Amino acid sequence: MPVPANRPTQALIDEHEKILAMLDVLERLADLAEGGAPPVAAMSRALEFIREFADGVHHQKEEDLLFPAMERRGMPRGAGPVAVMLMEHDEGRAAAGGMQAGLDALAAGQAAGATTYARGARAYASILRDHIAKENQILFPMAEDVLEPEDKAELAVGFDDVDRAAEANIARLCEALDALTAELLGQPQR
Amino acid sequence: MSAPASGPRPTTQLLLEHAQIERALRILERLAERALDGHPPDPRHVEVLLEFIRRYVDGLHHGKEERVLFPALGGVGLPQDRGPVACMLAEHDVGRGEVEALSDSLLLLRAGSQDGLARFLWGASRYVALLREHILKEDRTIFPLAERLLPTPARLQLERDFAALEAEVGAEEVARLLRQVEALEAEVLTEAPAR
Repeated sequence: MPVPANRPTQALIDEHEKILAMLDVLERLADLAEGGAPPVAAMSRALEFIREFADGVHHQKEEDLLFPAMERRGMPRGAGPVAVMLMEHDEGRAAAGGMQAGLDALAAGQAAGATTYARGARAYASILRDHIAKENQILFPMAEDVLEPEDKAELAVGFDDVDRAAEANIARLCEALDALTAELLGQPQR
Repeated sequence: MSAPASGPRPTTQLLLEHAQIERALRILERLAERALDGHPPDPRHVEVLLEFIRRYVDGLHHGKEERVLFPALGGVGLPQDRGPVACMLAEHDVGRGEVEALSDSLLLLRAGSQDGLARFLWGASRYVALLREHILKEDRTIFPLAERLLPTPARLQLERDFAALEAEVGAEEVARLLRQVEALEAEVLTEAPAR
């Protein structure tokens, strides 16, 4: 679906919906991992989604395109709301690093890796929920308010380019998300 | 060395004023942080800060720089139309633009409009970042340069002109503005961070 040229942040809000769905999966995985039988394959697919979709496609659009556009209209990158967003992306990456460490430990036969993964997954979900709320409710409306029509059109083209370059990967990752959601959250939980 | 009539030397006065301005910036920054979390600022708080910025920052402090210090620097080879002084003047103007944006946001905030929050966040974040960087440049570059370049008679003249400007704004008024910021500091910065 092409990005709306008059309202490019709508594309990011749509991506947030997918990421939010993954956060529900992550919390379920954290419970399962701590329940004694860590579903390693699903845990690994969830982390892949975070790395390649949330951090790859989505944060790439924000960090390489949206934030610089705001910077060009005078919003500094080193302080204020954009700096807070960047810091939260980094916090998310650190939490994902914890999940990876947990998977590595599990692969090396250390059962405690399940707890490490669970802790990382819960931290990630909490950081990103808060972060997404701020972006949807405050940062994006602010960007739409201050960016000029030509900035928005340029962003829409840039977002489309990112989507096109990652097209096959995005489709695969979204299918994986659907499969995980069905597998882990499809039945009544707990 | 000449003994100044009273009070700190001119560039020290400006440095001390920067410290007071930083207090207001910290409050504005906190209000912006809370805005990013979805909590609109209390319009009364924004009003107090706007008054401080207009009367103390732009009136008194930038008045001392633009009407007294910068012209004096012109006399010792630092022109106002290019180089560091021109840059400082341009930054004062950008700052005034942000103040207008903040002032517009205040109208929307009073009307309870969600746009007010976004505008406030934008204006406040830009103003804080701009002024912090500007203050750093002046503290590190312009003021030391002034100390080095200005001969004693020019410095004594600065002191007299600064005193005249202070009298124009009024010592009582300056004290009142600072008291308001202090009260706001107590109210805004001691609240638990909204999270």
